[in-house]
Amino acid sequence: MSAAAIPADAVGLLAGLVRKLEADGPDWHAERREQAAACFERLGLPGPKVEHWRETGVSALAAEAWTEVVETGEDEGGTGWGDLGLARTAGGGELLVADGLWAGPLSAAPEKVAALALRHLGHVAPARSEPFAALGVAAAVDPLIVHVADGANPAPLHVVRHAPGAGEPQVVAAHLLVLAGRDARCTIVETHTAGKGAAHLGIPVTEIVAGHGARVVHTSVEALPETAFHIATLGIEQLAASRVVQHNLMLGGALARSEIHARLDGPAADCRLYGLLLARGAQHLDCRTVVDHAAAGATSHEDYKAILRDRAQTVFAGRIVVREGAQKTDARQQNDNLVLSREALARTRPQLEIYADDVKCAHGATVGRLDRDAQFYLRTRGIPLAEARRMLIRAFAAAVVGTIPHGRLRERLDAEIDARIPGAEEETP
Amino acid sequence: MMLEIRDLYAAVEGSEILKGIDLAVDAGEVHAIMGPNGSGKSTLAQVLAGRELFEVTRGEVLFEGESLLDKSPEERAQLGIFLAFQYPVEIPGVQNLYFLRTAVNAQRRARGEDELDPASFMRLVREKARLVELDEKLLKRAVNDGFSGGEKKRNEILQMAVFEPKLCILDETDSGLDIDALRTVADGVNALRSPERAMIVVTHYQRLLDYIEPDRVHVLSGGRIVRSGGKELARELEKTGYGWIENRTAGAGS
Amino acid sequence: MSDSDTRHVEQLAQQDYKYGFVSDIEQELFSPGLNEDTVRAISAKKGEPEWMLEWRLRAFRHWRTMDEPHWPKAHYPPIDYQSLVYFAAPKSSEDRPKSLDEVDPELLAIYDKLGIPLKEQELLAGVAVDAVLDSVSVATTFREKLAELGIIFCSMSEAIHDHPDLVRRYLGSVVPYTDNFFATLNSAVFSDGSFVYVPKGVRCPMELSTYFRINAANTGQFERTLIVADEGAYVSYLEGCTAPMRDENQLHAAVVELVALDEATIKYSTVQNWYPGDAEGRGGIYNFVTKRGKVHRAAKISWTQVETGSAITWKYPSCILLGDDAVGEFYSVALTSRHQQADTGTKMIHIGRNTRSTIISKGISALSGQNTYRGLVKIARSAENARNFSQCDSMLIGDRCGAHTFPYIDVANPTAIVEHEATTSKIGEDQIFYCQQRGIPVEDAVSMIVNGFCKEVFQELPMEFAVEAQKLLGISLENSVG
Repeated sequence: MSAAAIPADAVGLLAGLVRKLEADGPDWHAERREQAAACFERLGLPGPKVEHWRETGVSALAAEAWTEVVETGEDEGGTGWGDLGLARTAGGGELLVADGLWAGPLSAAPEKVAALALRHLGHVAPARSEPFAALGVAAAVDPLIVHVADGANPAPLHVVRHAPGAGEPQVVAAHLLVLAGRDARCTIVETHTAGKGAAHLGIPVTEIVAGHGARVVHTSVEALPETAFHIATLGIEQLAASRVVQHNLMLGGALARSEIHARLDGPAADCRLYGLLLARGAQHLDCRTVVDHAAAGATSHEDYKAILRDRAQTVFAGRIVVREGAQKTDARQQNDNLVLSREALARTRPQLEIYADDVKCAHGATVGRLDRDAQFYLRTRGIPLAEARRMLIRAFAAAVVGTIPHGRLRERLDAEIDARIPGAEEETP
Repeated sequence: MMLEIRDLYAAVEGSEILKGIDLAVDAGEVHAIMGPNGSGKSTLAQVLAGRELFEVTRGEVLFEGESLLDKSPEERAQLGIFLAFQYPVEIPGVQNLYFLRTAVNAQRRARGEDELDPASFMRLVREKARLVELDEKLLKRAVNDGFSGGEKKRNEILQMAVFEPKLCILDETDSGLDIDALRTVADGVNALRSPERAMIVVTHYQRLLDYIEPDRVHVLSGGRIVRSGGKELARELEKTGYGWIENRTAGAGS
Repeated sequence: MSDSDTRHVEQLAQQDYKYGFVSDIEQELFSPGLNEDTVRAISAKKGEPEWMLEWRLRAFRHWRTMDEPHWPKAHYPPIDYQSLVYFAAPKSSEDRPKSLDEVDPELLAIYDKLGIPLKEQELLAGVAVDAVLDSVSVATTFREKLAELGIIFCSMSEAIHDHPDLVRRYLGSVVPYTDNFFATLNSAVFSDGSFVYVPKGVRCPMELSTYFRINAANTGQFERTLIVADEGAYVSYLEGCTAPMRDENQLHAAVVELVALDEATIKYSTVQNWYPGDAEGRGGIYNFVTKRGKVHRAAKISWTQVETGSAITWKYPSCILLGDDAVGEFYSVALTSRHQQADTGTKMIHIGRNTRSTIISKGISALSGQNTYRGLVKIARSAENARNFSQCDSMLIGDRCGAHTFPYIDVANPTAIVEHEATTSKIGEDQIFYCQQRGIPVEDAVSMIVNGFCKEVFQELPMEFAVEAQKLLGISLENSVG
């Protein structure tokens, strides 16, 4: 990405589009959106001097003539990502009520759910410090709220986020708040897709609040066309003894970035973050995590894998913060990058910031290519080169793919991985 | 009397584990402390060595007539009390030999003796390493770092042999050892038996006592010594197990 | 840490910096302030040729266009560059002594106090020493013996006079005068430093050593060191530093340039013990240093550092691995205690094919110390089959300190293999208890465990320095550990 100056009017243009939207929800939400819009104006678009935006320039999206802000729909537009064999919703007026689960737009939320939303909506994601989180909160007119009652264990839910695309460049908003009650269980898949062609800037915001002892599994798939911009924010807040498992699967987009901020607020909270970045062509994929150990005795485990080919670039920046007093923290992070072409560029920035002494923290990062000896060994056993590569690349991704609980999604991912494997005729480095 | 424990109570984080231990051990004696899991055996061993984790809430411990409880762990070691740990601690980067020499000389200094010169020290360690059949290569490695279970226990006995303490406390030294390793460790311990030295062998099983024959056996349960006897008591326990004790203490409590 | 251990730490923390004496020798000081005249005056004082003055002035003019950098993890009040003294020299060096017998006995006494008896060094140990007090080099030992081999070891001022071709060719070739705020300032006002040239195929038979000492008050020390190892040469260089205890902060902004030509090896070891400030964080040295080496074909540069001093350390000894098969190494122990802040690490820039680099960093934080490892491993597109291994371990002692690890890894060549690992540990209560049970007092146990933690780095130091480093670590830990 070039480090060219950000056009000064891009911020005004985007804020203006957001402010034109008509509100459907409660007044407090309109106020919160307005605060977020003001925050976005104050923060502006990040330039190359902002440390955590240094590797990912946004001048290309700032130069686009954005015409309107739209929300995503439930029709997945024939991308194939809508059919994972799970119950579906997209918000937008659709209600789903079953087994202690309430899923629907904020404007239709029952009093109890609305009260919880009032407390958390826009406060779990870093909407005060991150410009695209602020813009995302400001742009979502009627967020989707998923509420799981205390102790409930409803069937998995698939939130389909599809933007069909118009001729004009569009900003696509999608705000989801997941509220998992005490000891509740909740499994959610979110897929982000779009029609081919038109310029698209996705700014989804997802917020997860895991109550005491709750178990939440959230899987996010970003499979946009390789023309789209996508800057997603995920905020996680965990109370004592809760467990959140998150999969961040980044497949598409010209420029795609995920910011994941997890705050471990109670003892024995357990946060497991997994990610897979599949980058090809001229794609720029960027994944950031901040795991904030604010309470003693919590555990976090991160495992991110990137596979790069062609001229693709990836960035992984994972920060672990252990606050004063967060003793007995156990935080581990691993990032491995598999580079399949000469022109690709992999960057990794693991970061530890520790202010407590009785902790176990470790991070590891590797960058390398396919193991030549292993390829040779497989071939001497009669396995063709392409198959040998497929086996090795799938094995590389398996540590992440294997943690996904949905069979159809795993199969689909394996196919996506296969589609990115250089053919036997192609030279890999 | 070398060691006298009187009405000893000890607690960890407010919960009482030792509830009135009385025990007297004289030089030349070997006492076995047996008992079911959680009876307080290891706690007793650690309290004697001065582990700060445990708070002594009542009672006293005299070593050669002097109170032990206000002494730091190293002062106790310098007086001649040695604890063979159930789980010897790994200290990466610190060479075993260096560790031994530092410890030997610290103890000698405290007793007003001259430090050992490197040659005499090496002779001493070599001789003792042969005694406990510890591979000399392990002396060059970091303390217990990456040692097998058996190697760690042998390393403990080596230290015991090198320090020549007055009172040896062996905390579950038999745990995790196969029969050959057990025999080597026991031979090492037996070689150190002497009329001037006392030993307290803490164990769950009779097995170790086949090799290290005790003069007295005490059964610990619920933080108290519930029965004492000669070595035949250990064999009896082997046959009857600890079930009877639990019944008995349950009965006593009602 | 148990309470009693913590109390123990606090007790030990009261112990004072033992190099904190101020020596009362006659000084020649410039008045504070910095402008073109200061630069001209420094150059004139040293009788420099025109080209040197020109270079200094270019640097000064560039410096005036620069902003002082501020790092997210370093906190200190603004430095007033106009209040600093840019040149301080012991009076007796006006007529530089021809031999040590002519050296002011007061000066020799300073170095005796520091444990670097220049006379004895010359007589007994196989170490050649260049001693730098405040701004100027006061004595260089063993030079005749080295000269027989064609090795030049002298002060930078002498080198400018006696070896202008070498200096012009290499000065600024690794760290250009435009490099960064502090390096540019150094280029304008550097006062002295050491110069080493080892000719083709020569293995320097002894360790070369410079001992730096800031003595004068309110003085910036800006020394500049340049070491050139010609093809196939070998040299091992040691650098040590101390400063008196003063309430105000002092600035140390040195530049070190290393050039290892084809198949040459340079080992550069530092034991840095500048005054760290008192227990409340008053005073101490700001140590903002630029150290970098260019590594040509099949050459090797190895940086080893033990950093126990300074109020703030900002330092990233780096290697530009230019030639094929070049090797870069970085071994570091950084200890921060009391209110010290260290932000240190390395940059390994892989450009040549089959270049290799190793980074071993051990950070120890105690009391309110903040220790940051910040490093860059960059594999350029041209660096076929490059390899890097990094290991960054932190040890925390007490619950008020911080340990931070910020590696940056950029890989643009798929044949590269880059591995980074980082861990954090504390001194286990069980480890201390185990040592205590064996009769070892707490402070010895802590020092033993910390030395074990740092072993991989100490192994890289020359023998004399390794012993000093272990002692220093012991002293600094007494100042802080529990």
